[in-house]
Amino acid sequence: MKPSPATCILSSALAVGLCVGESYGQPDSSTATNTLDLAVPGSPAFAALGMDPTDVVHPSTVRELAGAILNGTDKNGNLQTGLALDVAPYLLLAGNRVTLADYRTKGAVRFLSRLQFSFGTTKGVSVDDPSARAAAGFRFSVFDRADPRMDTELTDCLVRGATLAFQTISPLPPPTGGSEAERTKLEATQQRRLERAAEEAAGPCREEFEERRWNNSGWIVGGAVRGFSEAGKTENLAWDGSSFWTSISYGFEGVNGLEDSSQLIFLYKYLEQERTPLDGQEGQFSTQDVHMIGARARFGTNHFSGSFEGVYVRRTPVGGIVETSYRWSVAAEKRISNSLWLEAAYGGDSSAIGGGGNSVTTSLKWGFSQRDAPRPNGSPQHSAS
Amino acid sequence: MSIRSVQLSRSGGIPEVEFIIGDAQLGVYRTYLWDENNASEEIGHGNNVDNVVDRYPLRAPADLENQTISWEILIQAPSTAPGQTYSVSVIIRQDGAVATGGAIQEAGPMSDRTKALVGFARFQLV
Repeated sequence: MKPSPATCILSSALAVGLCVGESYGQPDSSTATNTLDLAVPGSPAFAALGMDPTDVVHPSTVRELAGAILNGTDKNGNLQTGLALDVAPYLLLAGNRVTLADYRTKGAVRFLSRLQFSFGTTKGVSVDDPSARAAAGFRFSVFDRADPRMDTELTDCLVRGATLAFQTISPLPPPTGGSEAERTKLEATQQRRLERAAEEAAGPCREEFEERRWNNSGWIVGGAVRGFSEAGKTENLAWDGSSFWTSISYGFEGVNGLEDSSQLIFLYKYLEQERTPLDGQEGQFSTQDVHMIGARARFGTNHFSGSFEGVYVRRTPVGGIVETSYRWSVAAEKRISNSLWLEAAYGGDSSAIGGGGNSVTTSLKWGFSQRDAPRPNGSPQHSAS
Repeated sequence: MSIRSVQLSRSGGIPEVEFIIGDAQLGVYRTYLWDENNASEEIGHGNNVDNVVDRYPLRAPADLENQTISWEILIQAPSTAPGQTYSVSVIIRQDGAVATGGAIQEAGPMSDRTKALVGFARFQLV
């Protein structure tokens, strides 16, 4: 279960919690944690629905894709909940002909390979509520100077590692005799030995790449549309809002003194018909449109960095009055391990305390991030494909 | 896994084998020819990062009867983002045409950052 933002902070005091991004139907996590996630979601459809699925289908064949889509509804057209599908259509359809050389030399191939679509469904808030929501999203990189496929130092290093694995492990001779199962076992053993040896050699390559490219420039765009059906059927799906994100980072490439140590990140986010739970009224929501513009300056390394951040938020509740607010924060984060981060932040929020104050909060949080998932500091991540 | 069978024309030209690593992944490979006593000869090795064509001539058809070609391919995903897939084609041609049974393709999800593939094909002359 995803902890609520309230677990992430005690205002003006020390707090420790597990904080994972923003969520549909929950207040913006930045309200509670000081710092804002400036990354475009890896799967915009899931973000639009507030899903954090652990079992995402990444089809590698058209047949798998068709099966996943068919599993999204039953024979009567009822939406099945829990569908979480993420697909790179170009690689799915033409991937067998897309070589690394094509990717590196052809801009169109790069763009299409980085284009991702995501689909998700969720059910109503209570057990006897048949309603369902569905979302479809897209995500692509306009450019990505931290793209590992474009990094010749990384790929050369990986080639050396794989070559070393071949030099240390003899080729498997053709199986003679024995049962089919025995022959399969022999091949599987050889495969595992090769994979282990190559991955062991690749580890330092990947670490060095992360060190070198942590702050590189990039531009990522994502969006999603949501549909809602009170009866939970596909034919009754009605418009339920949309979301849009774009994040641009600048890594000062070629600027002495800043190239390896600094990064600027800008985000624009629009949430149409965002639903926010009403205080003390379980299952009740208010609906609002939200525009958010944010910027962050980061300094440091891949393991330790400091940042300054400012965010402008404009909310338009349905039937309500436009609210604007500002947030700012100063934060430091330390990478404890590949997936564990510790962050300390100090900041203010003009919308807190009845909207008239300028509260100051302090937080200390730690969080897990999946491999290559958006980091707590929200740096736009590498192309996802 | 059973050994595939590739049919070559006895009167045709020298066949060749080509490796194509798709899905914009990095691949390093080696390929061997094995006789009936499992004595081996390396046909070639390489990767899809350099500018060298990943295509290698074999032997005259008469010398390939009942010989087995093996290949071992290490695919490495430069990106560690979720949902990585791989696609590999091993194509055996003779006189410019794909030999019968000579288009071998394997594709699927990469459960980890590195995927190894091992395969065999035995030549039959017709």
